[in-house]
Amino acid sequence: MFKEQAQMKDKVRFSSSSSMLLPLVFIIVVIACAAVSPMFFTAENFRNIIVGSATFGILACGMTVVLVSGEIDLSVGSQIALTSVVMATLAPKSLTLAIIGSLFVSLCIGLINGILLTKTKMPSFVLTLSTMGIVRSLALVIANGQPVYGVPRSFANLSNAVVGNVPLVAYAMIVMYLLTWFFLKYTTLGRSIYAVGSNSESARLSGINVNRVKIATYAISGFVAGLAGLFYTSYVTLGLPDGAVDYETQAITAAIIGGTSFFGGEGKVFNTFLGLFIVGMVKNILNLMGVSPFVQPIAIGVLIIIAVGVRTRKS
Amino acid sequence: MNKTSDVQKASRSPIPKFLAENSRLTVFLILLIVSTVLSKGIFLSPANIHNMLRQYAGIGIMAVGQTVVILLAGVDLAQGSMIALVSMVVAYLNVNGYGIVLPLIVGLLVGALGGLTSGMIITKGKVPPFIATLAVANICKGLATLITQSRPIYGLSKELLVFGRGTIGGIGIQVLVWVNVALLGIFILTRTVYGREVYAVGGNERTAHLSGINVQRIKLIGYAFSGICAALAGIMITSKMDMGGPYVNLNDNVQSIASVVIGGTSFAGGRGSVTGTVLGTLIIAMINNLMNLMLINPYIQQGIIGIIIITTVTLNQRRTVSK
Repeated sequence: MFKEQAQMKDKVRFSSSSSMLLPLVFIIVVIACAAVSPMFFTAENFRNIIVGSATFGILACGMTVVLVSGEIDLSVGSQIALTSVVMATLAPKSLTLAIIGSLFVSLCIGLINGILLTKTKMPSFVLTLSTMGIVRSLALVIANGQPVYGVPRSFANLSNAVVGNVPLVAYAMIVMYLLTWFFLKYTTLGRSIYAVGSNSESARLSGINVNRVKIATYAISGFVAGLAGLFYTSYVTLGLPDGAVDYETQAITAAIIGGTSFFGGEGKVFNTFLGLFIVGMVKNILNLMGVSPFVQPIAIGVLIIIAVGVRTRKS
Repeated sequence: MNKTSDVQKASRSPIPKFLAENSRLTVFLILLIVSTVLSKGIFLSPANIHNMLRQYAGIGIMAVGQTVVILLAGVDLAQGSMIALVSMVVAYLNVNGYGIVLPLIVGLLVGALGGLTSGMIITKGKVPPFIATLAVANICKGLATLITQSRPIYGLSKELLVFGRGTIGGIGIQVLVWVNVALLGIFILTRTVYGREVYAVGGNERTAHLSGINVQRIKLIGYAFSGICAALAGIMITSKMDMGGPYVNLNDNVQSIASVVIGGTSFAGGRGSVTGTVLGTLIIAMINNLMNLMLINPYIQQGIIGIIIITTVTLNQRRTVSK
C-alpha cells in the first residue's frame, strides 16, 4: 500500500515536472557543448554521435516499452549477440533468409521471456538475468566462441551509408522512434501497456488481459533487440557471440534519464530519445575536450543520479 | 491445481516432505550425487573441493552482502565495479610503499564509502536501488580505470599475497574468510536487533517505519555492509591474481545475485537467509566445477546457471503459493 501510494505521488511529480524540463536540459547541453568546443557543431561530429548511439538508441525504444509495462529486460544485450551470430552464420547462404531468421529468433526469445514471466510469476529482473545467461550461452555455442565471419560487404556498408549527408541509420532511428511513439500513444495494445504498468490489478479488472499484454511487451522488446542486433552486425561487420555486453544498461540509462519511471506506467519514447542524445553528447564533448575516456562512466553515473534524483525529489 | 497435489503427495512421508520444503538443499544434494557419479569420484577428492571453494570464495563473500541488500528489497549492482576499484586502490597503495595494513584499511573504507553512497542516493534521493547502484557502479568503474589509465598494477608485496594463496591448517585463507563472513552474516541476521529490523524493513517498509524503526539507517548500514563485502572479495581476488586489475567482470555481480536468488531469498525482500545464499554459491560452484571436470564446453555455464535460477525460484514460489 505504502509503496503504491509513494508510486502514485511519484507519478504526479513526474508528469508535472518533466514535460518541459528535459527538452530544456537537452537544449542547455547542446549550447554548453557548442560553447566549449568549436568542433561540436559540425556535420561530421553529429554523424559520429548518431552512429555511435544507434545500437543503444534502437534498443532503448524496446526498453522504454518494457519499463512502461512495469518490468525490465536484461537479456537484450545477449540477444544482440545471438542475432549477430545467427545473421553472420546464415548470411553466406542468403541475406534475406539471414535477416528474417535473426529477427525471428529474437522475436521468439522475447516471446519465451514473456511466457516464462507470466507462467512462473518470477520478478522480471531475476528472470531476464537468467535468460541473459542462457541466450549468451546459445550464441557462444552456435559460434563455438569465435567471431563469425561471413557478413557480406553490402550489408556491412549499410551502417555507414549516407543519404543526403545524413547517415542512413539516423532515418532508421527516427522511423523507429515515430513507430514506437505511435504504438504507445494510439494503439489499444500501447494504451494497455500504460494501464498494466501503472496498476496491473485495476487493468485486469477493467478487462485487459494482463498476461497477454506482458507477453506482447517482451515480444516487442525481443524484436527490437533483433533490429538493434542487425545494425550492430552491420557496424562491427562480424557475428560476435561475446559482443554487446552490458548494452542493456546503456538502453536503460537512456530511458531513465529520459524520465521513464522505474515503477511502470510512466514514460515517453520521445524523452528517451532526448535522454539518449544527452548521454551521447556528454560522452562526445568529453572526447572533444581531450578528457580521459575513463572519466566518461563517472560523468554518466553522476548524470543518472542528478536526473533521477532531481525528478523524484521535486515536489 | 498441480501445485497443491505435489505438496500433498510429498507430505505422506517425512523425507520427501523435508526435501520438498528445502528445494535448495535438494538441488544441492542431487548435484552432489550427480557430480560424484559423473566424475567417477574425482569431485569428492579433498583437493578438488578445496580448489572449488578457493575459486568461489570471492563470489561467496560478495553474496553474503548482497543477501542483506536483497532482504531489504533492493539490489547492489555496484559490487562488480567495487571489486575493480578496491583492487586498484589496494594494489596502488601497496606498490607505492604504504605496506599492507594501510592499503587494506583504505580498501575496506572505499567499499564502505561506496555502499554508503548507494544507500544515501536510495534513501535521501528516493532513487530506485537498481538505478542508484547502477550509477555508483559507473562511478567506481571510471575511478578504477582512472588510477593507472586502465593498466593493471603488478609487483605486489609478498605479505599481500597471503590472503589469496596462504593456508591455515591446510585450508585456504580466503575460504576461511568466506566462512567467517558467512557466519557473521548469519549472526547479524538471526541474533541481532539490526538483523530483525532488516527483515521488518524488507517485509513491509511502512509497518517497520510506523513501529519506530529508523528505515534509512537500516538501509544505509545494509548497503555499506554489501560494499565492505565486495571490498573484501576484491582484496582476496587481488591477492590471488597477484595484481591490481581495473577490469570489471560483470559476471561476478551476476553470480553474486544468482547465489542469493538460488539460495531462496525473495527478490521482494523480507524473506531469505545467508545459509541459503551459501548453498546457492556452492550450487553455482559445483555446476561450474563439474563442467570443468567433465570437459564440458565452458560456453554453456552461464546458460546452466540461468536454468538453475529459473528452476529453483519457480519451485520456491510454488511452495509459497501452495502454503
